[in-house]
Amino acid sequence: MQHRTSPWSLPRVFVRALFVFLPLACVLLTTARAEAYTWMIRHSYNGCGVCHADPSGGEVLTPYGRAQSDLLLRTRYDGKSPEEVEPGKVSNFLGFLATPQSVMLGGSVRLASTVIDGEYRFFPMALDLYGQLRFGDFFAGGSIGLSDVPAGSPHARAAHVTTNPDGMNLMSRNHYVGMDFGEQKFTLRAGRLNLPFGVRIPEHTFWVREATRTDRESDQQHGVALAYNSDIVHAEGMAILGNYQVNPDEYRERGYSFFFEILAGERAAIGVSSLYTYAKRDRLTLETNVARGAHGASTRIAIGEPFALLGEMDLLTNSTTDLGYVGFLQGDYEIVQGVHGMLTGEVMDQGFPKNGEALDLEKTKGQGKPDVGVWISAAWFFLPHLDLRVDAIVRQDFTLLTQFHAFL
Amino acid sequence: MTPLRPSCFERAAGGRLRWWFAGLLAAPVFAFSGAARAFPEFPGIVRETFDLGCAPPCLLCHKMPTPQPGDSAEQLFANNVRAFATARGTAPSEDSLPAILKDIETKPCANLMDKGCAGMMPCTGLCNSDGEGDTDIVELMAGENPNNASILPCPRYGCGAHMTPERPARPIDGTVAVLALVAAGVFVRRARRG
Repeated sequence: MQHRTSPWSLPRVFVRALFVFLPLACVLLTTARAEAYTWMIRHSYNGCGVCHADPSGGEVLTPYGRAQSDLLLRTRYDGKSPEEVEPGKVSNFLGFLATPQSVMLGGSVRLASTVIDGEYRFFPMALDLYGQLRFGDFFAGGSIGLSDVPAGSPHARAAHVTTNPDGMNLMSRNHYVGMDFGEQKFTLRAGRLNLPFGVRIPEHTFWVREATRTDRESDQQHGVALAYNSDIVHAEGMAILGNYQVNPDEYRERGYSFFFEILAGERAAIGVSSLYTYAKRDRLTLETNVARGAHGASTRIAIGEPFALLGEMDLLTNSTTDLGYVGFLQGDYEIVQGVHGMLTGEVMDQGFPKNGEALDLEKTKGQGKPDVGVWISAAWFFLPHLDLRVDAIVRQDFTLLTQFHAFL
Repeated sequence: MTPLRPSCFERAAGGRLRWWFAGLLAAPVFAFSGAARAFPEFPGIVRETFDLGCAPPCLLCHKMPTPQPGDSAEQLFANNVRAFATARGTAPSEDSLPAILKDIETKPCANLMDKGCAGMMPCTGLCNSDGEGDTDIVELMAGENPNNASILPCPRYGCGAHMTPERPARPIDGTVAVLALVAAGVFVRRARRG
């Protein structure tokens, strides 16, 4: 296996000072960016493109990323440390299929159940296949999957390919073509892409992802993105041309989204994000002429080997509401390899509608008043490709969410 | 790769801190109880009941465009839903809502404050929340907002999405899954041979 060397040559005192002040900064400023499992920064994986085809993280894994999932992500039962073993063939696609270097395949099956107010519900959260083909510096990739959501759901529908009003639909979250240049430091992509914004976390229902509409669940947009990745800087900017899986055109948002992150140590990063879009009519609130923005900061820090801290805080602007804000702070503690305990605090006020008083609306939590949420979570990566997760989500209601996840 | 080092936490607590932390996380899971919940399924039930082209927005019943759990439904149309639910001796739910909606469409309005009753006791008219022209359900089926003179916008989802009042004759179903499996099988065989 290739050994990675630290890019850091900063004076030790400076690095120590950063470790003291960055946790405070993340609380006060907060914003971050990383891969699907952002807390991998605890293993000094501060960049995303090493393990993911997407330079900003998520979905398709590189062969190296697959190997690390077997070595570092899951619980090992042989008593050996990751340094003492080589990744097994089980890390391949479907657990056995070694694909050529130019072909990266993957997928995700995530089955979930919720208990809300005593009512049990089971549903497929993700049934996706994805991949990427590379031809020299050029590549093309995408995902295809199935979704089953009710007609009024805020989830999944924006990524639908087929047009059933409810029930089963074919969906594609990403599809793109692109090229690398500048000694692989620059990546230019065009297609339906994850928006470069904030911490790229898998928890798509975190307020910070829902209020900014930047989750990887179905908030992707069509557009053109340029990413830059060096040893100490990760950045991506995207011109948003609209989501062409939503019709008619008046519902499509156009604008920009960017993320810039600088590493403040081998296991610490701090970033800023900004997003601004305009749509003739908002597809969720149905208000007309909506200019929407989110601007904030994020951080991800590993404190020692087992503890990772992620945070993000954004200001929300909207031409139809007062100024709002949203943020989260998550502590992730790896109890033993593959077993994680997580505690997350959320805060949000999306802003009171500007015409609220005229409509005789009252300020409510999250819309004119601050709202606070807490997630108490545990995840166990118990076998290669497989993990279980339980979240107790305490917001204005209480949700017990359990997930079984297999990545192919 | 640098060897894994024991963390400051481990050094301080000899590893026991990890299990304290796990216990600390697990305990509150069992200590909280639920509160009011939202009904994201309701728009879909309205769509299905009246065969609408798309699900109505939350604004049909709520004043907030994106209601949070605990936001009560305060629109005039929601008052009529509640009135018919009370008449049936039930609460609006996924099971009861279709029948309640059919009642609103066909029976004299159970909400005596509704403009469709025009002060009549007992009420003989169908519900007409805004008191304009057509009744609530006729307006709803015409893409209009029963609560006022506005329209109910209808974003559509999917590539080349179009109005589909009825389910397609052949919706995405198990056939697609079978085809995907066959395609995957062919690919795997070719990859093995190659």
